[in-house]
Amino acid sequence: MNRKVWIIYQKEMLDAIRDRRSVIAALSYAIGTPLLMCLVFVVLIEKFASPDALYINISNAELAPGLIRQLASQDIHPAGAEHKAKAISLIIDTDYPKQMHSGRLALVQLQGDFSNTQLASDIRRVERAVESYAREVAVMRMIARGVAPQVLKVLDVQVQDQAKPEAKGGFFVGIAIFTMIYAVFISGMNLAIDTSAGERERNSLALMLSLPIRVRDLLLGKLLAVTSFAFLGLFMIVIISKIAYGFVPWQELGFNVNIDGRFIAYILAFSLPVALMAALMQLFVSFMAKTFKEAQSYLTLVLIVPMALAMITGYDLGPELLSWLPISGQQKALMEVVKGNDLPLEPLLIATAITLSLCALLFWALARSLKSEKTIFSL
Amino acid sequence: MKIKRSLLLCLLGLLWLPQANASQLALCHLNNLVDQVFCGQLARPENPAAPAGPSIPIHYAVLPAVRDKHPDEAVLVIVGGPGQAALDYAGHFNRILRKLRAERDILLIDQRGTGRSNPLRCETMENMDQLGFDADNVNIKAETKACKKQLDTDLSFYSSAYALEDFEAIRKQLGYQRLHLFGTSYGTRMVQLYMQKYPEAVASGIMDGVVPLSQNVLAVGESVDEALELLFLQCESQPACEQHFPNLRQQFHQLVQNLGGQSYLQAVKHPVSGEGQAMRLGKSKLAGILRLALYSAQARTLLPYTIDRIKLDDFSPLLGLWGLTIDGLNLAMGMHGAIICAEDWPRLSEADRAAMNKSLIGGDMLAGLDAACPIWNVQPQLQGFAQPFSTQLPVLMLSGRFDPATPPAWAKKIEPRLTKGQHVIFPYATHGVAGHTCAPDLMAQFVSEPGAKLDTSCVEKDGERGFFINSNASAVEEIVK
Repeated sequence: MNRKVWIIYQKEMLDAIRDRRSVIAALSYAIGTPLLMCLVFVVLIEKFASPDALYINISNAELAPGLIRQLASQDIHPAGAEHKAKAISLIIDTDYPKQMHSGRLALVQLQGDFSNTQLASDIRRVERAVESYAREVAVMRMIARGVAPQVLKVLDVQVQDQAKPEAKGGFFVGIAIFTMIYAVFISGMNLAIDTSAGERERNSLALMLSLPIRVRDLLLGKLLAVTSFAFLGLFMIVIISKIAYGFVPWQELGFNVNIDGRFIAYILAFSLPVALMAALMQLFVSFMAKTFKEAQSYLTLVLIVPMALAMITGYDLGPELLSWLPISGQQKALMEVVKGNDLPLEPLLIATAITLSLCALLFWALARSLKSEKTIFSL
Repeated sequence: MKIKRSLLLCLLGLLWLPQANASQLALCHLNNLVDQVFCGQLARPENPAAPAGPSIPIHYAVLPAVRDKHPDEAVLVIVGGPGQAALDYAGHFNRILRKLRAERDILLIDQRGTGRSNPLRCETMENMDQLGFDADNVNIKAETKACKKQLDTDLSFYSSAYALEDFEAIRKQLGYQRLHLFGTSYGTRMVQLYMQKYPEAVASGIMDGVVPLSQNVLAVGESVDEALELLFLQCESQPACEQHFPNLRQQFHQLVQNLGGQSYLQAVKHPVSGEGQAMRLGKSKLAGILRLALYSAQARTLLPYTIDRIKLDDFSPLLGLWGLTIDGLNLAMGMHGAIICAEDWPRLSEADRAAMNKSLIGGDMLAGLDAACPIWNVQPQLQGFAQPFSTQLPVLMLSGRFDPATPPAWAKKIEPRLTKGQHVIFPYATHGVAGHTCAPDLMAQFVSEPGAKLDTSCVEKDGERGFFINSNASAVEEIVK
């Protein structure tokens, strides 16, 4: 490596580390995101795994002992003095016994505010319990009439999921990978602005350019510094994710999120070109901006692009094309790895090639623009 | 430059990292299970004393743990019958063992002679369940001879003790240090044998519908009588049932008496095909249908009404209950015979025989076995069955009070001899409580901490069902607790 580049790199890193704000900004996302997600999921799973006894208002419960028994077996009870009812009502019609006994439709009303998301799952739970009781009685009625209940089943539908057993948590892992790749963009951002627009605002850019070094070397030094930060952020988020996600009882949801050594190796390798591209893009935008503040505003806007790309991929919404593009291409390849499938080598290589080509293009454009006074003095 | 190049090579190398350790297991789909699981087989000598002789493939499946927190443990599922095949019930066990599978592999093995492991089945014997079939006048000897000829193998190698060696060999092959055993009905016998012979390979045992080693399984005849008596008592305790079906007990005994040794032909519609057919109804068929209905917590609520309707020559409810049994137990009869004739039939005492003959179904059963066992011609294998079972290992026993096969009293016989045993009785459950109660929650609790005292509060949430008083609904009134 060129010695001059190395000196510039050291200078930029020293600058960056002195500026505590950049360091904290670089790392707060990487540390905070997995911890926050871990916390949210621990709480959510706790709630999901052991549904509490549910107390609801039941009118005319005495008319439907069979139904009440079935509800109780699923831990749904009429509210009493001890337990306050949730705002869900099950109203058993006064004609219920008569209708039941004559084999006619018996009216049961289930009332609640369906737009209240806190109640929605409880309402569904009551609905399912009521329906399962109805199914059970239907089966008995068939038997009593001399018809085997399997006649109603008609088809023996065998649904067969061809995914590998380890692919179960794929959806969540897609989201987790998105947060990791995004770290590459967040972690280097402050440094990218500081080292370009900031340098100019402190009037030290012209000074540096007057030194006997080539613009290319100067740029390379700055680029490597920003990339280092971006990569450090990625490394941190991956390691902290590995530790934090280990504490989440995923198995209660029927899948596992396992960040193993192979995955870590892959994500670090695949994201290196992305980190480079992110750094270049941020440097480019910052140099084009007139002030530090302007650079911040522009970058916030520009960051929406990789975020959207990674998010669409994470939720698996985008077209096939995404597996060939930068960011989404690497992300898709990682998702396949997590699902235990073969690495999609061809799309990954093409996505990487496009990423690197973009890097070259941005580097060339930046080096060119830094030869212009317009950029140097932001005229 | 050198560093750069080696770095590049490193990065490229990452792309070809080997896939996580490939194993001898293959991905497969099993009945009623959406997920892919792992299937494998192990060739075992049919006669372990002659390892060079013919071998049979013992098939098994591993439902991989969602998160393998205990890679050196698995839950081994052992089904009943004898003659059922564990792999056929993969979907069922995947559902009820969901909480256990969260952290441990579930291992299903088709016991030798069942399912895919050299099944000893005969078409002729399994098709006996037809409407016109005369259950009271079946030529068991001829049927058994034909089946035996078709199977053409020495059934002596299919007893529990041999099967146990297969289980242990598969445990070793898969590299599990210790197993949590989960046996149902006859499967609980295998659990006890396993604990006795290989205690170091067992972490804990769950027995659902306990058949103690010293208990002759043929005593189910008396269990059916007791379950029927419990049904009559329960009906008397529910005012609506008592009111609609007074004298149910007498009515029932009268019915059986009237049938006597005869069988009646009755024009009916087949409960599945809907086609007009003749049903032959005799005491054996009636008892068989009622017996199977007692296995289901729901179906048994129809029994008072069913018995009542027969009096009025309405056979519809009986026919519907019979329809439930068509896809029924799906037993490999050769394997069933191999075990019963080697382990239970030879140890019947005169008193046992007398008791069987007195019970509703026992007499038929005994006559059938006396005819079939000499033809199956298996070596008696009574080793280990005489002395009462005892163990230091943690044991969870599950019973249903209304169980018409393995009543709670059977489990109680071994309860005092278990130093770390717990026995949970579900007040309104029948046979195989794990399938229709909160027992799976208790099992998950138990396996996660085998020695600890269980929180059994969920048992009370399963209340009493009302009996159907007509063809539409059970009684509407407070059920007397």
